Amino acid sequence: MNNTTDKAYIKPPVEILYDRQFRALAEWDKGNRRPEGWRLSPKAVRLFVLGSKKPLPLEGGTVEIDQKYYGDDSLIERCIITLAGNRGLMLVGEPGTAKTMLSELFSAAISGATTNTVQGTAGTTDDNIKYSWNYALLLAKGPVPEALVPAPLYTGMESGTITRFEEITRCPSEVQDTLISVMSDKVLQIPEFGEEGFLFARPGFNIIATANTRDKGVNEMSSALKRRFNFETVAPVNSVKLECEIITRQSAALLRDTAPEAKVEPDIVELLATTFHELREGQSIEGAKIESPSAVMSTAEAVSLYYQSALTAYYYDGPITMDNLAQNIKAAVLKESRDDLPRLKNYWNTVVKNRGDKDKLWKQFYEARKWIR
Amino acid sequence: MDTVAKAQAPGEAPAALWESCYDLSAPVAFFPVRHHSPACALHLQKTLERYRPDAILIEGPADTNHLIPHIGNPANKAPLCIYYSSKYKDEAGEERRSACYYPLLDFSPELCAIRYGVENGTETRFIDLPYARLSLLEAKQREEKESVNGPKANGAAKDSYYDDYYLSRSRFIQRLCEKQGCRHYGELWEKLFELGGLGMDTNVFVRSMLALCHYSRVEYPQGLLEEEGCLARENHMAAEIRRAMGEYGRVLVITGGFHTAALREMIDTDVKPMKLPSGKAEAYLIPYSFAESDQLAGYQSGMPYPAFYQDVFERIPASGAPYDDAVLQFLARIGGALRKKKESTSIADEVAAVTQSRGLAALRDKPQQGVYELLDGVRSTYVKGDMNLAASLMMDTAAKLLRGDRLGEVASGAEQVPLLLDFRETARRLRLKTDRTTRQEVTLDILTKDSHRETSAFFHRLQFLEVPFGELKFGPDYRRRDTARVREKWLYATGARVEARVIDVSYLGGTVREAASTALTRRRAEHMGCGEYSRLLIDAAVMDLTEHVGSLLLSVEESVAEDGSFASLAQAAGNLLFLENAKWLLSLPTVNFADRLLGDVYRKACALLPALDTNQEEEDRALAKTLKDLHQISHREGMDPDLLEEALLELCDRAEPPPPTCLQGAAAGLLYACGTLDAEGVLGRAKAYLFGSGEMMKRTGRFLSGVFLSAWDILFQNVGFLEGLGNVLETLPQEEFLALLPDLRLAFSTFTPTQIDRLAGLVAEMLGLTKTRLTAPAVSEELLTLGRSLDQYAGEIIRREVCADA
Repeated sequence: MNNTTDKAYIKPPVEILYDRQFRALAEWDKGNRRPEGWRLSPKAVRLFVLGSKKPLPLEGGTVEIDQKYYGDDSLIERCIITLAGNRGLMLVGEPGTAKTMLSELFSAAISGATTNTVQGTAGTTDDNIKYSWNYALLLAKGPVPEALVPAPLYTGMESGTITRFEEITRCPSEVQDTLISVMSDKVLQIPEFGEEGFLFARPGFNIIATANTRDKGVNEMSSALKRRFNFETVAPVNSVKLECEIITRQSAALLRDTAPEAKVEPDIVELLATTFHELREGQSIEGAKIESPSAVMSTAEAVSLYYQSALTAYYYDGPITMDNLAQNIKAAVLKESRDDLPRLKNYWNTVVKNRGDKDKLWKQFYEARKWIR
Repeated sequence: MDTVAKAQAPGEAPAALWESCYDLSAPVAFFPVRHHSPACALHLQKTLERYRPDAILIEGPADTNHLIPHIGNPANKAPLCIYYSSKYKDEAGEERRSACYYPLLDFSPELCAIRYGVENGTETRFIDLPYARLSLLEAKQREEKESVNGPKANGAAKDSYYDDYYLSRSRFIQRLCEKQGCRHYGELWEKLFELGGLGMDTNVFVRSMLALCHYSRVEYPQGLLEEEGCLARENHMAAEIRRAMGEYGRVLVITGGFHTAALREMIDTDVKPMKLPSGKAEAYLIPYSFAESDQLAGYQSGMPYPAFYQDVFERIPASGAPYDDAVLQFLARIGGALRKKKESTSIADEVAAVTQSRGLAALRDKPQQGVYELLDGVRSTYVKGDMNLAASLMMDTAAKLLRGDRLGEVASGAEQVPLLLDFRETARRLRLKTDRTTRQEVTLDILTKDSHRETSAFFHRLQFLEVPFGELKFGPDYRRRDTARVREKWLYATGARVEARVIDVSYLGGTVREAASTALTRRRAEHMGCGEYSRLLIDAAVMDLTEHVGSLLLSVEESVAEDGSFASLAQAAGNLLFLENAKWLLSLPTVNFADRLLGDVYRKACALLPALDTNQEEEDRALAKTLKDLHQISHREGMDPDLLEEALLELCDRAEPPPPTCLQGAAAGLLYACGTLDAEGVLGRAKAYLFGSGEMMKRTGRFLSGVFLSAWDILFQNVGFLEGLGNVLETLPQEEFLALLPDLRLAFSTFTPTQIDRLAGLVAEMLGLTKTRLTAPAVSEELLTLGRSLDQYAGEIIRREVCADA
């Protein structure tokens, strides 16, 4: 893809961002079995998400299929097969574990669009999910098809594509339950159209929902709805090395647009990844027990923290300082509760201090402890 | 020695060598196996039928050849295992023991071969190093490793005779896993050789296995294999093969695939077995269980989920798709089991699970669904919600069914240890279920029923012999001399570990009673203090070995004179007193057998008491507890109570070195109980600590805990004491009081809830408060429920982590 499109949006949708990869995959995919309504075969979808060791040919050149999800490969396989079946896919897990990213990758690879999405909130209603009316037309012509304004579920069923439902547990339970009969019968009733008021889903339609089970302000899911989904729990990344890789790649991508001259510094990324990993797991790499803060120390948070610090350095013409990093870490940890401050202090006074005796960077990091108070 | 590893560059496949390994027209043919593999077993059966060997040679310790007819006995029921145990002297000349298991399942190629050999009268032999030498070799290696890396927590002797050690840690296999999209060697093996191998021609199957092993082996340097004893074993096996080739026309060699090609090369050279030191080894055939052979629950060898693979193996002759059929069957069974546990797994979920599993198999290019697709299916469709505790219980249910609970049986006739037979027979007679590896429960009314008393003695004897059969869940606690309960509840389970330990102690006697008796005699012969001898007396009583009582009493008597340890004497005093008082419980002679002895112990303890000293807090408290026993003895007929009083007084007021704090408190308490000291006197000593400097002040709590240990009633009988204590505590600055608080709390923990309630009443009165305020609950019900669920949650996490670690 060319740079102008890239620059045109803050975050271009997956189908645009990976356009070349999709075209190469479609070439590669010839001969593989494809569920009806899918753009790519399950094998190609897996390759798209997990990456290919060898670049694929396209129009005389080659395209690198990079790895987009790091973690349990079998999770990806289970998700793909679920989507090929007659149940929806429910991605659950702590905030920042790449649930939404996975949902976007799957729907772009399978249906070629990520935009057919319900963004669940406490204020989401039936209308936002199924359909509503253009009232001027409705009054003028009565309930005719052109007066109907389709919402994502309608669109997905009609066009045989994936409907994404973000943060489903933020919607009131009764609104969530709108999906129940649609998911089992694969038909949407539109009583206003009388005898013709049925929309039968086309092959390729399915739902990917993401849900947060740990956060405040989420609603229970009825067991009837649960039964129509296969659940997959997306776990946080559990290796420092992998986390470094993710932070590096994603920060680089973010910086490319805003601060092209800024380079991602591997030492600092490692320090950050280690800190996040240790605080999340409650154990230092050396094996010492650490009190975990209640805040979610997700990889996504680490990426945004690095990006923050790099931007500060970029605009104020300096290197990323440990002071800045420490301030940002404090801000991230204290998001949840002020009670976490002593825990963070303890971490500084034990783990960071000890490591500082051997490592220069960690020593500077330790010296930034004045900000942790 | 020119082996595969050396001769070939990694990229080059020694195709001719592989050809010659599996040439059914040659006088010797090699069949590579992975232990417990249905596909290997199937192809081996085909090979046996085709090749019709005159001799079958199997990788396994050669000193167990006498067991082969028994192993092949059709009356046996797998899983079985050969249990090896060897004794040797280490470099320091100390006697050491090592032991291992050789599990055999219906789908173990080795067992198929032995069964074939026995049925057809074909000579069948094990050809690996005898265990007597193998164990020495391994022990040496272990010692060397430990001297470099330091002792490891799990540095115990290797548990299983064979494992996938070399293959599973090979980098080639790891790369292959990545390439094939498999999570680990287990899944890779299932994909390529179990699912893929069923329909393969045997020639191709063998060739593929040789290739897998070849590429895994090239990365191990010759030196490492030599160091680890692998080459010594191969050397021995090659020599045995050559010997058999001289005797028989057609020889079939069955070994782990890792060795096959190397052995084929070695038999063309003139190999001589290395000279190796030898120890003494024994081997027995004992029943084994699925639970024990499961890789996840037990050892790093063979295949996990034995019940699943057993099911597959039994389906192979009749079914076109045994794996698909087995997966369907198990998914339904797991769904059923979950419904029984009140989970809402529906038929629709089962359908979705089958679809999911099938879809995954297709995506992963597997010809049928394997156990990993099954598990993924369960995970995707049965689990509703987060992968949390409830979900992992679901996965556990699945794993449990896939593992199965089958227990093997060894037909009579096989050479068996008399003690083992007696153990089984006695268990059967006492109606203990020994056909199950899951824990059973039995409650024994030892006071009223003779048979229950016998069962209890049986459990206690096995416990004394360190056989991990029964665990006393609750009942009279003989070690703590607590006879508040008179019923015993035991949890017990059998298994190969239990039987192996029985075999280990079989040299002690032919029956469990005899073995326990011998063990007791041996213990008595060790030089011990009178405290430990008195402990053995209790052991003898609970094991119903009363014939030892006389001689043990003699040992106690003899050791009293030599014993200079107050702790040991006090222990003896307590134990003897307990035995006297608990005669009714322990079926001991009714005469006052211990009186004279008690006198000796008492006098000697009193003599040692004034000089008693320790700087360990734990020991201090333990010593303080023993004083009560002595006090009790002092009031028996024929004892001189003054002796103890004088000793206590001397101890209590000793100037140099100052007496241990808790002990001093206990002594003061006892003196108060005897009337030698009044409450004022005790309070005075407590104040000495309270107004003492820094460290001394902090010891007040310990002093009080000593007082309460021996005379808790001082608080109730004497309001002045409580008041005095209260007044002094009030004058303390807040900071000092806080420093004192933990020990103070500990001191009051000796009281029962009723006593504390009474005490609170007294305090309330003292402070002019009404009692109602005190009875208001300290925490609300809500908070209590929250706390309890938190506690449960934490417990579950810990349990899960422990399980994961195990």
